[in-house]
Amino acid sequence: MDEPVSTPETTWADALRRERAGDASGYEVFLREYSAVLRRVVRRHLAIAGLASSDTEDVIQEVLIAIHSRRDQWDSSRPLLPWLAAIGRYKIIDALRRRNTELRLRSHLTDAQWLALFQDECTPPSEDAAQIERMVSDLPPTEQTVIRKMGMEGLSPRQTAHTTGMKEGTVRVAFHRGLARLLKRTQNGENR
Amino acid sequence: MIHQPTDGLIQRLAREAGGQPRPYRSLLPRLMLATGAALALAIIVVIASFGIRADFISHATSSVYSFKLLATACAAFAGLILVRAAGTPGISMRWLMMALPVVVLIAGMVWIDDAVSVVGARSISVPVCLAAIVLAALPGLILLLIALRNATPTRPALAGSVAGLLAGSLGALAYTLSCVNDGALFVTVWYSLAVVIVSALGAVVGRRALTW
Repeated sequence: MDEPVSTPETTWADALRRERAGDASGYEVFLREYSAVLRRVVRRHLAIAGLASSDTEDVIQEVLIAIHSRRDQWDSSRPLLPWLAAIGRYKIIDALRRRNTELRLRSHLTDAQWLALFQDECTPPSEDAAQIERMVSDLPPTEQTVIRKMGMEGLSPRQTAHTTGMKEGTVRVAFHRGLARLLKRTQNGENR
Repeated sequence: MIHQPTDGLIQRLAREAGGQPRPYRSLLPRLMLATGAALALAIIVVIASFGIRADFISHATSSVYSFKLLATACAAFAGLILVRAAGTPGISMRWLMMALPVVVLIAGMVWIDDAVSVVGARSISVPVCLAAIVLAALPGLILLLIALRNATPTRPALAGSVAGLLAGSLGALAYTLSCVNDGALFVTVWYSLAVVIVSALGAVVGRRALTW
């Protein structure tokens, strides 16, 4: 009897078909093997884009979550690898583009705002908590939520996105806008 | 090497095995439904804002009308195939489909005796034609973008542009009811430009609206 040759296409497609019937262990093996492939691809892309390789796992997770959340849309009568490749490519490019935008946003602070970053350390610590709370609660709702989750509770952008149901890109952008706004307010407060 | 955070995520995702949000549904039937609705809306817009040409009944059997109908229908068909490809990861874009309307347009310019010049029958023919097709295409464009949002587009701007191509073609198809410019050259130049405008609009909107 001919044993079918096991390639990523056949084994992964099989794992995904069985996942639909509730086979968690096969699905886990697929996710592990696929993330190993992704790790190589993402490292290379980050290096080419001149971004820190420390973002690798973040990007891999974004791709895995994308595949996971859309796995119902794979037509199991069609090849799996092209489907994975198209989504992986989209999510990796998206992640890289977002990180580049973020870099730009970060450098959108004015000279005065940069200066305020250091002056902040001069505020007496006793006033800090109340003052920060007051300033944060003045922020627009989205920025406020994100600043609270990320800046005060210490969640990662991914976790924040997960708990608030926002897109991770939105979370990152809102975080930086919120920070910029806080800095601006700090300054205005000191000028008064 | 241990990748702690990713490992945790994998275990969490694996625990959700079998919990598909919904069973697999093919995109094509939904797209065809959206296309039908888009055409109906385009016809309503054309009739409501531009009216059907007075001699439509006798005009409908002319070769120019058949040409307009065939060219716009071919473009819409090609658009439908392309939208489906753009909404399904792993299907390559079948750009060759675009040869279909192009061949019809060229054949029309070769064989049809134009009754009007390239600027049309009236001085306002060109702006009316462009405005009518773009307006008629807009509701359909929205429907198609919604259909694509529920699919898995992996090139948002491209997906938006082919949705615009399809919506624009349907708008042009509807506008044949009203159009009094009986010339293949007029149709080739201005209908095409209108479809390109809708396609560009689709790309701009799709770039933002079709990300996920």
